Formats: sequence, C-alpha cells, structure tokens
Amino acid sequence: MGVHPLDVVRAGRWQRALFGTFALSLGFFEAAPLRALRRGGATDIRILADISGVAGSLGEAGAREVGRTYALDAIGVPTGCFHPKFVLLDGENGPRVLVGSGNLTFGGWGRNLELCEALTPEAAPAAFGDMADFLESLATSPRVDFPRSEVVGSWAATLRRLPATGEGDVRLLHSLDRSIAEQLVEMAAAAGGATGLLVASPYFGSANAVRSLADRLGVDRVQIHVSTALALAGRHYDFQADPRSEPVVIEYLDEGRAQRPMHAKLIEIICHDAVLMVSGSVNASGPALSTPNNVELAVVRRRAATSAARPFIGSLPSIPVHAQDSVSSAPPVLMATMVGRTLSGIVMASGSAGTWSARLDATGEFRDLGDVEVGTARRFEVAVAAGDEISFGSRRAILVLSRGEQRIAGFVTFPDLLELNRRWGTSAGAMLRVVGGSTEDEDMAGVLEYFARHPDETAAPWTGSRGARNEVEFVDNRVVPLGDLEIRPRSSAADITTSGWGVSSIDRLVAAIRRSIIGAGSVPGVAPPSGRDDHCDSNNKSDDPPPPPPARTDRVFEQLCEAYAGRVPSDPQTELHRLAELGLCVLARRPDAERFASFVSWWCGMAAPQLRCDHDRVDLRRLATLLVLVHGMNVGSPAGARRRIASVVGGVNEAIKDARSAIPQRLMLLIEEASAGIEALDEFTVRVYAERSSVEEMPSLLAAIRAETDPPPLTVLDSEPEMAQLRRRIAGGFASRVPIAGLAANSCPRCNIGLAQAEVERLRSVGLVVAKNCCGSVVVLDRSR
Amino acid sequence: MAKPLNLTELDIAVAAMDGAWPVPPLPMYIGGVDPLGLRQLNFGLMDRCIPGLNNAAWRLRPYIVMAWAWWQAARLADRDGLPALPVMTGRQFADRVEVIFQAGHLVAGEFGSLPGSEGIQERVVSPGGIDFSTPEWNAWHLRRRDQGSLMAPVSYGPSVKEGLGMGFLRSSGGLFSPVDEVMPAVLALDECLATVRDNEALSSLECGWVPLAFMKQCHPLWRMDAPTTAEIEVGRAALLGSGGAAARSGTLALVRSILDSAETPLDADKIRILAARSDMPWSHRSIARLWRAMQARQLLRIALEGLLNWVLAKSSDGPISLDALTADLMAEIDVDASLSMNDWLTSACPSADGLDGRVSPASLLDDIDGVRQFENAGLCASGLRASLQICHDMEDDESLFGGQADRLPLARLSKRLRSGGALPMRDACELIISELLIGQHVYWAIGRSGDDTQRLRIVLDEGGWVALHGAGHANPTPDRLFTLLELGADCGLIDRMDDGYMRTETVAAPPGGES
Repeated sequence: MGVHPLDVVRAGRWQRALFGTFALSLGFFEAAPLRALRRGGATDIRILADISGVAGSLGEAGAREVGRTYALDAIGVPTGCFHPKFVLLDGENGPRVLVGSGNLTFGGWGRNLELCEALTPEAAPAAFGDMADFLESLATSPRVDFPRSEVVGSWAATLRRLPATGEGDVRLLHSLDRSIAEQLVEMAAAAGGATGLLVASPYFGSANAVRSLADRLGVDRVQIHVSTALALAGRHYDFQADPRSEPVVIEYLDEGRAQRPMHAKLIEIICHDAVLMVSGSVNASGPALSTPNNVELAVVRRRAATSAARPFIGSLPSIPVHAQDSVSSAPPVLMATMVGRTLSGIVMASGSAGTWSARLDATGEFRDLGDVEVGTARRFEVAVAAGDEISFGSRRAILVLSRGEQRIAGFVTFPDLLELNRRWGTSAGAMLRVVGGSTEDEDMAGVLEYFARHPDETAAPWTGSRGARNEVEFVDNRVVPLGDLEIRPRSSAADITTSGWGVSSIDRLVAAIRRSIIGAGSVPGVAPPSGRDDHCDSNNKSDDPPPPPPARTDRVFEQLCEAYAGRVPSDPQTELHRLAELGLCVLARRPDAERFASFVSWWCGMAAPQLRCDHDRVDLRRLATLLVLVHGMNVGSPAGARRRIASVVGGVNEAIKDARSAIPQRLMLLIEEASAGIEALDEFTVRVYAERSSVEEMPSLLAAIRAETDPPPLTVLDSEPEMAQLRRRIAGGFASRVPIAGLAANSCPRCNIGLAQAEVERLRSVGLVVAKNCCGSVVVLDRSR
Repeated sequence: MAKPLNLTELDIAVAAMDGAWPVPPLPMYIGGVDPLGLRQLNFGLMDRCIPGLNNAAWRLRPYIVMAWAWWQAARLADRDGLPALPVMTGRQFADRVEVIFQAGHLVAGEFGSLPGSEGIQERVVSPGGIDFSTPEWNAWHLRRRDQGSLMAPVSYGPSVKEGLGMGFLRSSGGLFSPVDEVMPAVLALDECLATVRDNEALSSLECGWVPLAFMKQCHPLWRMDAPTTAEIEVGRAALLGSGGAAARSGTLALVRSILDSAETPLDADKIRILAARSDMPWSHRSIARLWRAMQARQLLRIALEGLLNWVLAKSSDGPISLDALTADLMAEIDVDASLSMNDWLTSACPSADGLDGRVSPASLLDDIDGVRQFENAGLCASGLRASLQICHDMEDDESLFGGQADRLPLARLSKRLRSGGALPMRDACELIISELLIGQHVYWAIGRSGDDTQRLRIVLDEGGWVALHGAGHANPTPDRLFTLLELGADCGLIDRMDDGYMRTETVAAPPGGES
C-alpha cells in the first residue's frame, strides 16, 4: 500500500506550502489539502498553475478562499504549457518535496492512477538543489509568462540553505532550459549506456517521441505498458509505427478489474550500471519529452532493477475517444489584486491593450466598475467604490473585463489578508473564515481564543461604538501598507476616534468580526436553528453531516467570560458590550434555554452594579435593555426589570421602545428558541410598562431634598420602611443634613463609618438605607455621583 | 481505522519504496440526498406550517395505544406493589402492546402508517405468535427502538412525546406517562379493551407466549378506523395545538377554507396546489403566504437538483468544459445569447395545467417531478425562474425567504441575480451552472462535509467537469400535508372520502382561521 500525498501533508507541522499543477480544482484543494495544511498550522500557502488550469477553476464557484487565505498565480508558457505537478512543504521538520503525475485535482490525488515520489533532504539531498534550480529558472526564464515570479524566490533561498550536495541517486530534471530527453540521454551515458527502455504514459502524440528517445539511447528493445483504462483523451501507443516496441503490462500499474484511469507517467532506462527510473509530469510525447515546449518536472532515480513487467497478450483494450481542446487554446485570464480601494492587475493575453468594461463579482453582487484602460504592458488599475466588505467577503472575488465578444476573467487577490494570514498565523485565518461565513467550531473557537488571549488588542470595535447609524456614515479610505500589519502594539482604546474602526488592518479585521457577529442575515460562526432534529423524519431527511456540537467554542467561551469578567470594572461599557455580543453569537450556535438563562443572569448580575450606558452608546443601550427584559421575564420580575433598566440605561419606556425596534437577529433567535418566545416577551414588556421603580423616583426625592421641600408622593419609595423616617427629617427642616451617597459608596457619607455589606447592597438596589453602624440616618443614593 | 503515520514513519515508509509508487485512491462515499444543501431551509418552512408532525405518523389511534400502554404498565407496577416501574420492564411491556397492536393490524390488512411490517410478519405472524420471555424477544425489542417500534425516531416517537407534536407522553427517567389531557382517551381505550385486558399479555409485566389468535382477537377492539369520541376530542385538541404548535390550526383552517370552496372531494395533491396559489380568496392570509413560500422553496430545490441531474448527464460521457455546458444550457432553454438575464427572469413559466408557475408553484413542482429531469433542463430552469418571481412578488420577505447564506435563501439569490440583471444570458447560464449547481454542490459535498470528498458527484479535471455519479431524479420533499389531512380526518376536523377529503360540518371552525 502506497503513501498518499495527503498523508504527508497531514503528518507535518508545515508553515509553508507551494503547489505546482497544470489542471486545477480549487474546490478539491480547499476541501482536502488546504484543510489538512490549516490543521497543521500552515499560513503561507500558494499555488502555481498553468493559465488553463486557472481559467478552468474560475468556473468552480465552490471554492471560496482563493486570494484570501492562499494565493494563486497563473503561469503562461506560450510554446506549450506549465505542466509540473509538485508540492513543496516547509516546516519545523525541514522541507519535503512531492513530485508526481497528478494534477491538483480530485483525479490527480487518487481518482486516477498516478505515480508520486516523496523526497527528503536526507535521502535525496541533490534533488533539493535541483528544485532550487528549477524555481530560480522559472522566475527568470524568458519562455515563461510569470508576472509574480518573485514569489518563488524565498522558496529557492530556503532550499539553497540546505547542506550543499553533489551527485546523488535521486535528481530532479526540468525542461526550462533543455529537453528532458536530452538530459536523460546524458544520464544514461553516465550510467554505462542504455540497453532497454520501458515506458508507461497516457499520452504519446505519435510514436515519434519514444522512437526518438530510443534512437538517441541506442536501444533496440522498447517495452510499452498497456493499460485497460487511460485518463482523459489518453491513447494507446502506436505499436505498428514502431517495430521495436513490445506491449507489456507493468505489474504495479495493473489494478485488474479496479483499474483507475491511468494518468501515471513512467520511463525506465535500463543501463549497464543501473536503471534510471523517471517519474513525474513527463508524458512520452513530443512537447513533454523531446522538445522543451512544455515546462515539465521529473524525478530520476538510480535503481538496481527495473519494474516487473509481463508481456501483454491480445488486442489492445478499447479506449473511449474524447475530444479535448489543445493546450494552446487556453482562454486568457487576468490576475488582480485589491489593496484599499484600488484594483490593479495584469491581463495574461497579448493584444489586450485598450479600453475594457470592468465588472466585479464579489460579496454576492455584481458591481459595474465602468471602463478600464489596459496599457501596453498589459497592466490596469481601477478604483472601487466599496470598502472592507469586499476584502472580507464570504466568497471568491472575480474581476471580469469585457470588450465586445471578448471576455477575460480572473481571481482578485487581497495581499493584506494574505499577509495577515502569513504573519498572524492561524488566528487570522480563523478570523478571515469567520468573517467570510465559516460556521465551523474550529474557526469560531479560534477567534474566541484570540479574543481571550488578547483582550486589549480586540477591544477597539466595542470602544465608544455609536451604533449602526454612525457606522454606516464612516468611510475608511485609507490604504494600509503591508509594513503596518503588525500584531503589536495595537491601537489603544483612547486613540480610537472612529466608531469601532481601528487604525490598522488587524483592527479592521476585528471590526469586521464584530460586524459579522451583529450583522443581519446569516451570521458567520452561527448556525441557524436546525429544525427539529429531535424528531427525525424518515421522509424529511437532509444528509447534511450532523453538525458536530460546538464543544470547543463553548469551552473557549467559558474561558473568555472568566477572563473578561475581571476587566469589567475598568471599562464596563466596552467589556459588557463585547461580552454580550460574543455571548449571543456563541449561544445562538446551539440555542439552549438553560445556557441562555444562565448567561443572561450572569451578564445582568455584572451589569446592575457597574454599567451605566452613555446616551450615545445606542447599540449597548438596546442590548442591555433587552437582556434585562429577558432576565426579568425568566425570573418573573417586571419590577426588578424596570428598576434595572432605569439604573443601567435611563428612561425606561423610551429605552424599551427603542430596543424593541431593533432586536438583534441573534437575540431574536434565542428568545424564540431558548426562551419563552417573542410573544411572551411582549406580554412581559406590558407588565414592565405598568410598573414603577425606585430608581426613576429617586431624582424627584433628591430634588426635594436639595430644595429642602417635602418630596411629592412616591409610589415605590414610599413603600420602603426608610421613607417615613426620611420624610420626617425633611419635614423637620433637616433636609440639608440628609447624607447622600454615590454609587461607589460603602460607608456613611456623614460619619465615614462603614456600612454593613447588606446595607451597601440595599442602598444600591433600593436607593435608601439606614446607617445602623453610626448615626442611624437614612442614607440616600444619588446614581449620578 | 488505521492510525495515521507521523512524518518520521512516513519517511521510513517512503524510503522503503525506492521509487515512484501509485497514489492510493481517496476515500469517497457515493450517495447523499441533499446534493445542494437546500433542504434545511425547506424543513424550516415546513416546521412553521405544520410543526411537530412528520410524514410517517399519520393516524390517531397509535398515539392513544402508546399512551394506554404506558399507563397500563404503571398501573400493573402499582398493582404488583413495586416501588417503581423498572425502565426495561416498562419499555418491554409498552413494546409488547405495540407488537400485539401491529400484528393484529397486519393480519387484518390495515397496516397503513405503522412501521416494521417485515419484522412483525417474520417474528410474529409466520410463527403464529411470539414468546415475550425469550432472549430473542429481548434482542428484537432493542432493535425495534431504532426501527420498527411506534416509539422509534422515524415513526410516532418524536410526535407522541411532549413538545411541538401531539404530546401525549411525558418523559421521566427513561419511562413515559400520559399527560393529564390525554387521560380521557386512555380510559376510553381501556374500556374498549375490557374483554381482553385481563389476558396475561396485557395484564402482566412479565409474559410468555402470546398466540397470534389473541392479537387477532384484540384487533377489532382498537382498530385504527374506530376511535372513540373521547379519543377524537383529545386528538383534536392535540392536533390543533397551542403555543409553538398552534400553526397547525392555521394550516387546518386554510385547508378547511379550500375544502369549503370545493364541490367535490380534493386529494392532498390538489389541496397542496390550491393552498399555494396566489390568486385564490385565501391567498392573502399569512399562513397561505407561508405555504406559498414553502412551495416556492420546494420548487427552487427540485429545479436546481433537476438541473444538476442534467449537468451530471452531460458530464457522464467524459469531461465537458464550462463553456460547452453553458452553450448546451442556452440551447436547452432556448434563449438568445443577447437576451438579458433580467428579461429571462421575468418571462413566463407555464405549467402543464395551464397556470403559470409564478401563480401556482406546486403545479410546476409536479411537472418537474413528472419528467426525466436530465432531459428537461428547460422545464427545470422555469422552476428556478418561477421561484425567484414568487420571492420578488412577495417583496423578498426575509421572514419567508431568508436564511443561512450558503443554503441559497431565495431573498439573497433574488438580490444577487437582480444585481446582475444586465448580464447577457450566456453569462447568466454560466452563473447558474458554475455557481448555483456545481459550485453549490462542490461546496456542500466537500466543503461542508468536513471529510474531504464525501458525496461528491462531479469533479473538475483536465478537459473540464467529469461526473462521478450518474444523473438521478430529484423528488419533492414530503411536506407533511398528508399527515395533517389524515390526522385531521381521524380527529373529525375534515371528512375522509374515497377520493379525497371534504369539509365536515360537525365541528366548529378551529382557531387560526382568517377571513
């Protein structure tokens, strides 16, 4: 049993990965290799693909992260195609190279019969130097159209740092400078001269490439593998055109009745001193083998023996005929980057200069960008009247240029997001995905973990938020240089002058997370109510995989609550606001009445003594009002709810009316799914309206005391035992001697003798208490002090 | 499952191969009934129209039988002086009652709505009875909990428990007891069983052989079609529901209005169509709008899954490029390349009954269900168009057409397509194929499954898209209407006739009706 390339990708803690491919399926890439790399902690991931592969993947809307958490570069080869298939991995266990025949597609990673080699610096030191040669040549070769060729420089440098090597039994060959055949002939000569040739390939073109190689090697015996199934457009070798050829079956490429479409390429040159085993991307065709038309990459390994083969007997198996576009007809693509509000890029097609109409497909909408001028150097630039919602969109962004019948499309890459991902590691990746729509437990937990570990750095969006209305008005036109994308120091809360927007890209990302948490519609990280899973229905079944319980998110959220609770006294508005929104987001993932009630109770318990909402904190005022209402409904205390709203927010009726007009979607869901429901809340609200509270009466009492006049009748306060004594004191002309305490007081303001804890609590909840430890006066609370 | 190798172990394994090796196949699981991930939003709408019921549990009597069984078990435990009813004993007794009830109905040819006919036939009917004291019974009883028992999750189990369903049983520590409101029905059934309830099979917590003859003897006493008045009244109150389940009474009121307007009986299919039409006297009611929205979602799902079947058929004979698929789709739906998407989206969507899908989504739904979808891309595309038109006609109401973005909520889809309304049909067809069909499928098959490549039906490779899975047929998801109608008939809210349902005059209008 062989090793799957995915096993290697999964096994290491890779920091970087570079893929090379001809055909490309981004849907497959995002589902399998990218997922595996992410789990291992890789943050710098890039694909180099032939221009036709990129063009094909444009039609694959299932891929969503391209340009945001990994980069994709198109490579054009005017004389042929960019055909190598490789994976370079680099991490704490050193680099690895995988070279094979399989493209970065589902077929190339196991649906087809493919061959693969995995190389380590210890076992194949020379091959790593060869790989560096290949990358350096790729970056500089005039045969290749590689607009962002500088991206491979760091990889070449990494490989060059490995211990210097000389000859070795395993080498890599590429065709950027010379044909593969020419190099093989030289290697065969060095191995004592060739005596035989064994070839397996899905494509031959004609028999010319094999015949030519045999001629140059000087062999008179050529064995060609015959398969019962060949990959797309594969053809059998033309045995009749080559009298030297002999049909055989290579044992380890014969899968019997389970034969997969063969896409493997194998050339074995039997020499006097060794057998040269050549695997990789090289088909036994002219453009791949005989001439350096394509860019190919192959592993050449010196072995002691050739692969076992047996004669093929019978007529050649029938192979379905498929029409296939020639590689030269690959549609053109463009590559675009968006930084700030500027979209720029290059059209990878000749004759593209002139005026085009531009359309951007991002965030679920098509935006007409008007005319764009493509210069003679094929470059263009266009301004986009939009902001971060495009960068942080939930799907890939595609730019389309059209002119008459011509149409050129390409992915938009967001360099600042890629850089964030690279520098900031998995936390940024998780954040980008959450903002982009991920509902995975792993991603949401990743975000919360970062929030828990970095409370200061993530507070900005909740610092001085002025509500949704003002956020809409805020326009961020700045372009953030990549050099500014540092983790620390973060902007301090005091520096934030705009509503929830920080001064760097990381601040903007955190702000985007907040927007996504509170935003309308389906919210990233939040799964909607799942219907009625408790009564499975044989006829009403969806085969969605059962969503795993968000166990990690729940666990991390508990840690976060613990960590943030201690921060509440220092900035109650910011911290309680943040806790409320994060809490609702987490709870809405798995609505549960007990958890919801417990959280609301915990939050209100902290808010009651500490939170006083500023008038311009619209969102916080609404949220606090609603949470207090829900808690009041849960415990059946309309009077308590009224008192608490009056204390925390202010004018109760106005606060309730305002809050009910804009119930956050998350909270609405929880009220419906994990509480008594919105109708019950309506009924409870009516009861709250009918109540009065001591907090609301207190200003009248304080005004009377200060004016040294009798207080008016006070429905609630007059029922408190302290009021009779207080009224007597005021009526007796001692109003000026009534001790008045502020919210923080824990002693009698007149005597400075400490109040008992129960008295402090009564003062804060009722607003009146008798100072029994000292003067026995009624102390009155002024919440404004 | 083998433990994954670490990197060192992999290095050793690779070194041992001494050369290139064949890449092993990726694991892949063929199947899945929800290739585009669209069903959950539809279920959500069904939950709002007919909450708490499913498509399998559609008769009243089984609910009462289960309630009686648990009541009887508790009564017997009390009679025997047990301090408490042991959980296993209670479960086995209730299941024994179910088997006796099921076997009698199976022999009488009245098994409709009951689960597990094969097991009953093999283990009870064929041997002429069953010994409830054997290890074989114990093992079968345990298996029946998942499939075969009335209490199973795919049968009456979810609905009989307290919640949004009929709510006849209250759960406590693994045991159940009838809720107070059900007791009149339980006592009425107990009275019906007066002549047989002293038989050991029904009067003892432990029991041996029970002959089939006894089961046949019981059958006329608790026949499905003969509920007592008390049972009907209890069932009616439960079916009309309260709180979260009260929406059922609104749907029943809608059904009664439809039946009231009909001169002849209407079957479930006709009622479904009429309830969803936009040009009927009841169409403005909120429950009718909800029903129409649900049918529009059903139409969207079957239309897109039908079009996916067309794509799979096209890509079954070898790779096909997106360009070629786009050209084929344009030919199938017979549009000019220069037509704008907006013009196409607003064009007519006729159905076989002469109505337009925009007016009667369930008619077009039936049409798409009735054809070979992989050969009828044009009809499926009409379904897509009609569902979007309905959404737009209903002001893209988020409360009806919203939902999780990756499940293609109609409101969001409508907005997206309108933002590209000026696109030529060539681009529109490409968008439908690449985004709504293949993109959505790939996303759900591999992106959301969390397990790499499960359930993938089509892949992109050299040359274009290749189907891994042949074209199938998308069916509308059963929407519980039949259950509602049957239970409504059992509960005396409507009359059941040979060829459909009619309004009954014997029961006052249930709450939830709107003028």
